[in-house]
Amino acid sequence: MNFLKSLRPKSLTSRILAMLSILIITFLTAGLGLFYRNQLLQHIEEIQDTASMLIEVAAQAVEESVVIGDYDTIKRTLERTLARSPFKSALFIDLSGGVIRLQAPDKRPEKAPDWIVSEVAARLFDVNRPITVGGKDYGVMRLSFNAEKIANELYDLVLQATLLALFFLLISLALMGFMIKRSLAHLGNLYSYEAEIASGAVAAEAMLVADAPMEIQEAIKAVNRTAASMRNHFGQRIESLMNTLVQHKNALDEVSIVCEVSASGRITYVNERFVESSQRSKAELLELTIDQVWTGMSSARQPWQWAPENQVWNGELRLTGQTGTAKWHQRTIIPILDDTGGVEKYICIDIDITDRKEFEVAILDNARRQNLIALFGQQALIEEDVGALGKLATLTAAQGLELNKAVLSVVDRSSRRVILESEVGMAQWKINTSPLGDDIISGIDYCSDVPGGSGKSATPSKLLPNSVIENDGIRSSVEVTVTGSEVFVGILGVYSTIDYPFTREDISYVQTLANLLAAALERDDAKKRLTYLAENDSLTDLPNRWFLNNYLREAIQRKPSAPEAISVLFIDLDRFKTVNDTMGHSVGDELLIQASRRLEDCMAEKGLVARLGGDEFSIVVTHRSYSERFIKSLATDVVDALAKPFTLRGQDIFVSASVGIATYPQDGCDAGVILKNADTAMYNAKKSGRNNYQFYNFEMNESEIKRLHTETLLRGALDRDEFILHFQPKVSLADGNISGLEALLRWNRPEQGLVSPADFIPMLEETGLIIPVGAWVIRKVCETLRNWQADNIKVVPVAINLSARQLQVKDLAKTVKAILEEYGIDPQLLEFELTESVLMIDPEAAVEILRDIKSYGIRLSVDDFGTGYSSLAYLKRFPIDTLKIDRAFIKDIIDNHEDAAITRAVIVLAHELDLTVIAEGVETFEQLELLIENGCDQIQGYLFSKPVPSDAWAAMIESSFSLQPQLAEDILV
Amino acid sequence: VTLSPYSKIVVFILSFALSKMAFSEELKFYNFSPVNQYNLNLSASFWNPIIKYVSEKSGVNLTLKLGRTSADTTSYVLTQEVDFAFTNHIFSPERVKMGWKVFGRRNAPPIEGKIVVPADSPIQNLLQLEGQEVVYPGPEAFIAYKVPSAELARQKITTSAVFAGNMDGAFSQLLSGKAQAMGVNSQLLSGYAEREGKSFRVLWTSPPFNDLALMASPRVSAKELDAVAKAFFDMPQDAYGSKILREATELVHAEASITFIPATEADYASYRDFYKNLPEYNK
Repeated sequence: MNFLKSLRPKSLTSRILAMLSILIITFLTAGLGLFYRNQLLQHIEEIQDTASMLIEVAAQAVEESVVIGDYDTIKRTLERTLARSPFKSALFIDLSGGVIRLQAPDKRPEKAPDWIVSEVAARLFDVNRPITVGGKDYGVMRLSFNAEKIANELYDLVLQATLLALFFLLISLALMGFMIKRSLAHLGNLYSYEAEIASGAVAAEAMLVADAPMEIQEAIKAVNRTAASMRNHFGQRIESLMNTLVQHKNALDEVSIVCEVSASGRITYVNERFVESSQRSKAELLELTIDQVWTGMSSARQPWQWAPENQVWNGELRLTGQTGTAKWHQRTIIPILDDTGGVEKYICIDIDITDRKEFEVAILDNARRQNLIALFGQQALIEEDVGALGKLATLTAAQGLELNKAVLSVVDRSSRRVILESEVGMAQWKINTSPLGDDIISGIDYCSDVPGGSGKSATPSKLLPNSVIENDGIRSSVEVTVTGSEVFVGILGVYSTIDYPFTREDISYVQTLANLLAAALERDDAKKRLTYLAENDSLTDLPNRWFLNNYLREAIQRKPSAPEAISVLFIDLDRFKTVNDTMGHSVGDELLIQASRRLEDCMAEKGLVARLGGDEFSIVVTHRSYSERFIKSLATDVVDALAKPFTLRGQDIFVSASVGIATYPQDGCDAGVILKNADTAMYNAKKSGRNNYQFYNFEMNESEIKRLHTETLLRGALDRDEFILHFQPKVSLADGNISGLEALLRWNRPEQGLVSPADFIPMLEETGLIIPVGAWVIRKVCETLRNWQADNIKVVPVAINLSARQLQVKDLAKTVKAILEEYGIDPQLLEFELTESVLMIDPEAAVEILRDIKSYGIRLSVDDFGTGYSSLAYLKRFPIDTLKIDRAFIKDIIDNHEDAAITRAVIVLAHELDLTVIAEGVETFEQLELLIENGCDQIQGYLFSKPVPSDAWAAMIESSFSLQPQLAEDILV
Repeated sequence: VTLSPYSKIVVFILSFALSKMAFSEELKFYNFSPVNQYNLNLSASFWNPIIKYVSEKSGVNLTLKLGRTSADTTSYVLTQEVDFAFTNHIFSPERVKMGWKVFGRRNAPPIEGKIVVPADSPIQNLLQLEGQEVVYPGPEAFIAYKVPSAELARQKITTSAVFAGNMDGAFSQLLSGKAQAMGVNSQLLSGYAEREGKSFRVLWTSPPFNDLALMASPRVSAKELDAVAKAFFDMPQDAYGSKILREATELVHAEASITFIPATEADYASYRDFYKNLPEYNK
């Protein structure tokens, strides 16, 4: 297709000619074709007709000759027929079989194409003529056409006709071409019109020629109309454009600094803003080149250079003018080209971007500082070494302000000790102060109130001494405080050797760093504190159990310098609980602190004193070579030291200590085992009467195991109904009769029999089993009383011991009341005995509960009176009915006058307070006698009866057992 | 006598060649030449399908040998170049001797020879033809030339005979005024008049003659002749044959459907009668 398109004529004349040529040739070809065909058919028809005629003529001659048998004449006739005829051959076929054949000479060379010859031959038929004379057939005459000859004739005709047609075709085309060109030549007027327009004659019109073809005239008129319309339209557009251009120029002059520069670089025009910006006169400017007006810098170090060229130049410049003030311009230099492509002039458009650049610098500066802060912040979070962090803070402060001198100093507030100090770029570094801390602390106000204010001061820094300032040539500074807690305070300063105008942003930056540093220091301090708290007892400042465990473990595992032996002293204060309970926790705490100091005083250098918790302490001693003597000496020192009175709240309080000792490796290879064994040894010391020390041995553990076994059995004893009650009578000294009973708990183990109360009562207390067991006792007593009543056995009040744990149960009174009601027992038949220490654990709560109990009609007595620590004031506060003098006083009442005196005093005191007095543990008549003398109301003890089971007691009642006969026997004797 | 091996090979080759020749004789071709009653193209279009059909049906190979004029057909008969012809030119006493045999004809009414002038001709009777040119298809045309010219001779009307070669040519010469009258057979006259929309004035009409006869040369065997004759006559009964006939009828605008029916010499007795009564010079 493209090839065909490329063949298409370009000019209108050629196209019309080509079109006409195609048309003419098409018609000519068709016409000639039809003509040739017609000629062919007509020619052949004529030939055929001629042949018919010829054969007819010849036949007549032949007929005449054949009749007479003149075959020569026939032959001649045939010859004549052939001469100048279109025949190739002439035959006479005799019916008898003879043939006379004559062949025309082949004279003319063949020139017609074969297809014409074959076309002709196909249309020509031999001409036959029966030769019949008088009804008799003599033969047949046949003429055969010479197709080649006829074809040649026709071919000649075709050639001639074709050549003629071609000749006329060419003549016609030439004529047509001439005519078309002549007509189209009028369009040439449009070319000259275009030239006129191009030369500036915009008002010109294309010329109209009268003899031009009508269409061309119309076209030229249309062009003229269009040109007029466009002139009008573009005139308005140009006017509008000019107005716009003027407005744009005015707008440009308003916002831009514009000048025109000649091709050689000299300024040829400046606008008002240029004059104003350059601070030169217009006349002066017109003498200069553009780079003479300002000194320009393309970048920080690169001077601006511009040579006239034919490319647009665009860029930002830092310009310094006559006054030395720097400004930033966005400059665009546009070359204006002339027709030849050379530079005619340049237009230089500057826009003042000073504000934007300063803003950009500020933003970049801020971003850089934020980045530095972020980096420092990251370090502050992860850096363990505060010294390194201080160094980094100093460096970051200097870098952020792009200065090279910075100093940091942080002091402990309380000790005024320097805890952090760092500097960057200081030639001669020395902190200003002596003592430093005071000065820094006094400088805090100065730093925070006057941003960058030290620049103008004679002493520009509170941190640096004058000598340093002078030596380092410091002229201005910014110093901020580093503070965040009560622990430390400091100053971070950045210094400049010029009069650097520190801004609020600069101060804020340095302060942010200081705050981050302060936060890191606080965190470090808090971490140290936490570590200390984790490892030490806050009350005594001694290492705690956790630390001790670690210490012990490390000491054992320390290789190769592991000690030969490590002894652990497990120290438990005896009776600390009593002090704590009776005198309050604060007194108990004070006791612990004093005990700690005494233990520390006992301690040799290579050892550790730790508080394990409560009233338990431990001393760890490492031995290069084990010395039992040394340990014994130490244990003795400890027991002695703690046996001395502690002065608490003005009172001398006596406690003692039980000490257990276990030694690595013989008593265990593991820290936990050694501590446990030391604990076991301590427990044995306690069992051995307290205020002593015991070395651990294997049996102790067995004892402990046994104890644990017992405890396990005890837990199921209630369910197995292994507890029983024994009753010990109280005797009235007024009449010798039984005045009451004391119910005493006994544990009857199936295989071992009765267990000593001393072996299981403390366990009940420790394990809390005392509460359900205590309730069982109350219930059992009530049940027994009811049974006795039912059996008509004489009943007397029964006393039940209440433990401290029971008194802590708030609804004790209600429980008691419910049981009484359940069994229908008169409350007067019930009495509760409490020790002094039980009452003093929580006196307020105890008063309340006891009053409730008392309100039911139940009696209350104080057991073991005289052995506790209570003041006599409680005798007034509690609703007590009876005092029981402790057996310790009764035991030596005969021999020890002090005990006798105390007993007497108690009896007198009780009577004065309207209380009944009972002496416990009365075993001899001497004791009885003395008590009677001193007016004691009742006694209790083996003298009368040891505790017996309820059945035995019932039997005793049945037998009217009384003290009377014995009294009669002995006293009255 | 014993033949040498070489002679045996020659004899073998010859015998083979002769057997091939005998075989090719069995596949011999017969030329069929009908008298050209129309023009060459029309005649060829008319006859070629029929001859092809008959060849296929009969098993006898026929080829059409068309001559421009009846003289051509007659010449082919005389020179024995054809063995089948559709003609009425060989009923003269001399030619009957050739032994050709009529076996069929078109199922058409007999035709007459007529002497006609154009309808607008001033000539009203034969006598007015004295000295005038009368055009005929050809000297061999029996109904169109021999019968009319014999009548003119019988009435001693001297005319000059012009031979146009075929019937269309004769009509052309008559209508162009080249000839004043024309000898023509009644069938072709009505066909031409209808086809070309011309009208003519009939000056004389001959007794009726059956039109051209399907004839076979004595060289054709009776079996072959029967086969060919049956094929011609059974064409209407055969779908393909009847189609060919229908197309041929339409081609030449014949009044009635063209079919071929058996015929005998008796159907052409009128021809013999004509020759018998013909003056000696005109035979």
